[in-house]
Amino acid sequence: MLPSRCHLAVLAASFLCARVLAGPLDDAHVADSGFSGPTSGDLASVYWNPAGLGLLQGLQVMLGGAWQSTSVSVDRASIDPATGANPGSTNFPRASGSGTLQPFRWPPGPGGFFAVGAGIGHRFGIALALYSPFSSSLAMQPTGAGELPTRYHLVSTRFDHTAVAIGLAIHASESIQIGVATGALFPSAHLVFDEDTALGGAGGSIENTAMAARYDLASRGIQIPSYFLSLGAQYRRGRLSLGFSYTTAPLGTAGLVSLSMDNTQITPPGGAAGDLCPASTPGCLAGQIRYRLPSIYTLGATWQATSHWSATGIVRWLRNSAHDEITVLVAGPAAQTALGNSIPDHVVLYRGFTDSFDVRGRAVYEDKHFRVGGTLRLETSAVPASRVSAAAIDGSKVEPSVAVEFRVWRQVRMSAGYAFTYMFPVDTGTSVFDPRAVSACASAGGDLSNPACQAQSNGQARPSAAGTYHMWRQALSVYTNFGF
Amino acid sequence: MRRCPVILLLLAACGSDQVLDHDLEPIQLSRAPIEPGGATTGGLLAAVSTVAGIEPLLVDTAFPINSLGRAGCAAGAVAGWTYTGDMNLRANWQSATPLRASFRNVGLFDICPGFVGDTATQPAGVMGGPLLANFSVGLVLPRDAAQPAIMTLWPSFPGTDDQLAVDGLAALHFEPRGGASAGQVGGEASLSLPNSRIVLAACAASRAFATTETQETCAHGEVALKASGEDVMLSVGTGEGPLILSDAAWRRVAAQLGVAADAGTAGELYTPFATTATVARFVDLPRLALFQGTTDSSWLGACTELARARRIEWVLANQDNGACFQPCDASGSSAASTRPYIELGGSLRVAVVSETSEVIRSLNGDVPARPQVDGIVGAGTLAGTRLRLDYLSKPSGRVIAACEAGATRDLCWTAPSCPPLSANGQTITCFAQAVRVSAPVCP
Repeated sequence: MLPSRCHLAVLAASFLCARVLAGPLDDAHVADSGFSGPTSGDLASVYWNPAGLGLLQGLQVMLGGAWQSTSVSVDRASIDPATGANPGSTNFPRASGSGTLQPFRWPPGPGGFFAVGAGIGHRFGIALALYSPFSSSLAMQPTGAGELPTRYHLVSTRFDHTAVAIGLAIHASESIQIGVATGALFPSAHLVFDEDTALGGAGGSIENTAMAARYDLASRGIQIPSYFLSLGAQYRRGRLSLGFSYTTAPLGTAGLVSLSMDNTQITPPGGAAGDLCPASTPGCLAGQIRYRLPSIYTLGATWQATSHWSATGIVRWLRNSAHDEITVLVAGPAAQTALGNSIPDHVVLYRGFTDSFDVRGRAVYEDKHFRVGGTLRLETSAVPASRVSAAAIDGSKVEPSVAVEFRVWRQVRMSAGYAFTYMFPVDTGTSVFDPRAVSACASAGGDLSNPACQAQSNGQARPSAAGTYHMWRQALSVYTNFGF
Repeated sequence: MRRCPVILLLLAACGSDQVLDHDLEPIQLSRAPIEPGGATTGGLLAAVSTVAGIEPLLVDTAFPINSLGRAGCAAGAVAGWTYTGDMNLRANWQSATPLRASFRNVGLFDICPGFVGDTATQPAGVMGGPLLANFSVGLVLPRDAAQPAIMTLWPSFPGTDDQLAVDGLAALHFEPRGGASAGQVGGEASLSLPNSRIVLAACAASRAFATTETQETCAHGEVALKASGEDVMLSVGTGEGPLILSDAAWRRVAAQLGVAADAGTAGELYTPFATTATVARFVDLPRLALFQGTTDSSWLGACTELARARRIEWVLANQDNGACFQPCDASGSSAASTRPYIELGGSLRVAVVSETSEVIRSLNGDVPARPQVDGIVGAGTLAGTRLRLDYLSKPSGRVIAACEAGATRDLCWTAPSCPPLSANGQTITCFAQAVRVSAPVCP
């Protein structure tokens, strides 16, 4: 039994944990108590490497919750009000935004992890887990003058993907375990942005807020899930442990997620949100968004240097390049003539992600009643600088974190931690977003072989996102493990 | 002129690594005549790049393959076999016209389709069902022949059937048909033809209807007896002009109309299914209602469903005058739900062709065999509508139909589904109208 001061310390620390996002969608620390990874053997292995479930002993339950706060600021480059090109006479105030992720909401997550599992006869391990591998949340705040400089890329966004997965592992030999996990991924989202309906119009000025239509799309309830598969293997010999796993993107659709946005509203320029619908059917618009999620490769190695000290290295390869765009489709009443004409019934939001690597080194000191660890994580950007916008802020990141775990009772262990993520400021240089592409494409008659039309087709024909972007995050959380 | 034998149509290849480059913007289409000398609201024609320049490309949902004549479609050309090639759609017929869509590495047949509409329109190929089935295809088909048709290629279409019903859109579900597979003797790889043909149930030649008419009574057990018109199964063919009916189907319809089976004028039908004219007899049909192509245990048949929907619509329009739901349309104290449909009217041009014509044989060439398809509802018949051919909808495809703005009921009428109704004062959306149901079931 721990002294009472330890209890208090544990309770105080129970709101701390290391958990941050990697890239604009991926959660780099799902089920990460600060000690889990592809070489560990706990319930978090359902996510990290299902082969690790083979090391489970007896019945176990793992429960975790996290609170995460993201802050961003955007200093947009000036634009020419006639063309939208940078630079120009129109300046923008600094825009700031924030987002909070925490699991106590419905649908559950993100930031939560719940798993129950058991080792069976030192040969099999099986577990069921609930977690959220992909999530993001960010809302831009109006400036003091009520401006929203990032409105054409983002007003606010929330993407969640709650996974329900079952994993199974088996000892193939004394030193090798293999495992598989399969699950359903339930998406939900809320996306708000403005569309400049005057782009390409004769004589209109760029980013004239009087010509902005606001798109507000939200999913409702539990949606049809996607399915994924995770395969993994662990090798243990002497002091060395190696682990490798591969998690697919949503199966059967090449990673594509089609999400119905049943709460869809469009506020036309100068109008109200319900103006596109008859008074008798105010919620007449049906929306849908389509985007791709990445597959993930994870490799890890742990060296047990002494009976107390171990070192772990982990590399994750995120195939983020699959996430190239978000397609927004809207259907409305048969008698509605504005939608599809003056108000677009389809919008492509360019993302243009690239693959990224998440590398982390960890040192852990372990004793009978506690363990403490420190991790340094480095991650390459999933978004090249020229493609960064308020909707996809990413750059090279560094993240130190600490975690501690105590055995608070015979069958109960609690871990807690803190992580701070710093993104090196991103100067976009020349942004890929160029509103001049709209008129250039129109002049080309919509010719798909014309670069301007290609830009319009893939969603780059939007107001410029050139500027400097800053982001930092803090994460606090706690995990509790019950062993029986 | 090269022949386009039916058997060859059944041996189609599909590109496995096809690249479909397009945007979500409209692609303008022209239209062929419905018949020689007829209105140019018939088969949809895109512009395609070929070795001979910019040529017409038929956009035909009923055609079971994609084809493009590699050496052009001049007289005397010899049909080739399959190849993997490109289909580049252009904005118009002028040289250096903008590229609007590019389909690369597509499985194509090196054959030319037949004339379309008249002998002046020879497409260089067909963008058939197998290619169209990759999209949710939006079609705007103006009744005014001077207006161009519009096609949009989307990856899907948002909205559940119920949501679309509230918006006045009728979602007609279908299971794609037309699948076949075959292997060429001599060792060439086995070829497969995907299910891509849209087949819908239809009621032809139903009686006229108005909510101001006298109420039709219908006792228990009379639901089928009160139906008017003739049930037919029709493939949606955007590459054809008129409503094409087999002779046998027409004889049934003619009996309903009370006209002679051999009525009409003799003429020639030009479709992509045959490179020579198909002997046809042209007649006019007053009305055609299109329903879903799928069936379930409560499906009554197109004409019976139409009659039921009209009776329920009549009651809702007249419930303030004490109208009640007919017993044959009720289950307990509630009126039955109705099926969504779109009814087309005016004078619909019909081409009656032989059962043994290539077009009818091709429609029924499914492997394995499936229920008889009686003909094709062509683009000319569909003029005045806006359609979304949502092939990719799950679990079944759907045709989302609406009438063009300003259409009168006698020309085009869209009736989304109406849920079961009971006289509880609840306001619901029925036939795209918010109604407060107060009518009881008649004793």
